[in-house]
Amino acid sequence: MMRRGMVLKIKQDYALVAMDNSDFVRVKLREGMIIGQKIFIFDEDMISLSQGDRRSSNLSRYLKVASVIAACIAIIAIINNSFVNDTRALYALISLDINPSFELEIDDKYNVLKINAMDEDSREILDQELIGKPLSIAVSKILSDVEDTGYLSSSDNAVLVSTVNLKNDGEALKKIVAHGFRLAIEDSKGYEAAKILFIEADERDIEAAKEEKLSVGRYLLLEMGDNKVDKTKIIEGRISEIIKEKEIKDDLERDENIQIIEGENLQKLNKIEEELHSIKTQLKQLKGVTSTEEYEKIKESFEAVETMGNQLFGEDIELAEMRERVDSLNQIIRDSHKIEEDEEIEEED
Amino acid sequence: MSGKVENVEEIIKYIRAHPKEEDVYKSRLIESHMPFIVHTISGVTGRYVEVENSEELSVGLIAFDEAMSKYQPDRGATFLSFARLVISSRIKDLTNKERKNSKTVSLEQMTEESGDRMGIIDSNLNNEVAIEVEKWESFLKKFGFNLEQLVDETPKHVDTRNNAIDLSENISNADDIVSHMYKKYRLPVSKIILRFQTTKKIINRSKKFIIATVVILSKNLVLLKQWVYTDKRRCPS
Repeated sequence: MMRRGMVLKIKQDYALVAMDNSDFVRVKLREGMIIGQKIFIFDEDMISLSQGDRRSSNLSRYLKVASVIAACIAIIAIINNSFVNDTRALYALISLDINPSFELEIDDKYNVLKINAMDEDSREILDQELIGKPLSIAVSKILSDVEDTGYLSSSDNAVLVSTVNLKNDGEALKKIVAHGFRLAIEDSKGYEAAKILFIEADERDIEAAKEEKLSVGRYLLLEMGDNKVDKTKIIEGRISEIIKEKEIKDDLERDENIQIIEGENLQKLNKIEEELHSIKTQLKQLKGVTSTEEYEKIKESFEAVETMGNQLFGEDIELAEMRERVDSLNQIIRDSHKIEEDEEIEEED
Repeated sequence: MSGKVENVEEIIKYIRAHPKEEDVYKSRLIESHMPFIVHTISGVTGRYVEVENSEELSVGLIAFDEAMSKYQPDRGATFLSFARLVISSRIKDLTNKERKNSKTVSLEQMTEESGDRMGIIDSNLNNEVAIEVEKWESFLKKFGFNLEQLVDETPKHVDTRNNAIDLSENISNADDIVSHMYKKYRLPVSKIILRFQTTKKIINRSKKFIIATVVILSKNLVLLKQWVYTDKRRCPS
């Protein structure tokens, strides 16, 4: 089959092309290619690399969870929601399932208002002293307690975090929960190898989950299963096993709202964020030193990394890219300091 | 198509017997053999054949026409193998001629353009599509992905893409959603579901593609828009 395509980008081993049927593909590199060139393309010219392979290998790494216990954390942010009207200070609702299941009610300062034990196991662990504590501390304490009580597997654990994003602060909530994980990892090594799946949910999911008498996380898995996965397994099974089901695995793979992060990578992300923070303060000083054009470039690069961080990218590829960018930003700042010093020396002379 | 290929010889025989219908049948044959012609040219040059203003393509088409006129069935060769021979030989003539010319041209370019813009990548920096693509990708990066990821996650079915494009057109006409997108660099999925009666599953499966399309439409990246979306319902060639 012959089609028409326009060259968008030329890489080392292939070119990215926009086809006239709105498809985007990779094609083999040939002599004389120029961006913007419109060319005839045959099936044999197309390269179908990576996607399937790369993504599924990544995913299968995540899914290689021989875990005994799967944890499921659902964060539900309910803002101006009908069924929280009676508690005015309530800002978000977070349900935390780690086989023992908890539900945390959160105020607008991200402090815990109330904790509910959702089953027998969680009632044993429930620590009412966490009320009034910051969300990240509470999450970290609950995670530690769960490990101390022996609910965590020694090797792998899968964690499902689902968030509702009504006022666009779902990212902030996720970050706080992620921070809780980092704190937990520091003394509970069990979470270092944990796979944390962040899933977004909405009000309708909450209502539907209530009807099904399920946690939002499990309800979302049930929905992904499309009636093709045994319901009992989803209701009672371990998350790590459920996410191996083909129906669900496919959706997890495809759904852009789902982010999978390893505990270890969360720590790396934390380090990058700290560095970004320090870069941000130094960035302003660069303004006078470099040309406006260059400054804009640096700023854009900084913003790109910042956005990546905000998206909570946890895959190795992105982390490596972020690390690379942060390093080069650091280098630019170091260089600019050098220029300043040199200028000072010259002035002194 | 293989049916047509078997019949080429008969069609040529028919054309010769009915000279009045020559034009109609010849252009029909050319049309149905475009892939063959392009493929043959590309095989000789080792390059992709350009869609617009391609000298190679016009030489190829003329050669195919020549082959139709000169083909002699009694010599034993099939029409297509004969046509391939004619096209190849005409294209070789053309590339030889170009090679001779290009030597002098490239020297001129060396002096005129200071010689430091010789690589493929460099020559791409100045072209308008490249500028648009760069602008486009810089937005996509703010949304947290790049072109490579878009290529990976573009829906493979043409219907899915067309639905996503329809939805993207609606989104890009909704100023509040668009400004929300550029403020937060996220797709406000719940809003879109409510406003345009779609489902989360549909959006999530095409999310990057939708974002990329809305950026093209709302930032009015005309060259990309013309190529990628205006002709989305063009019949497959």
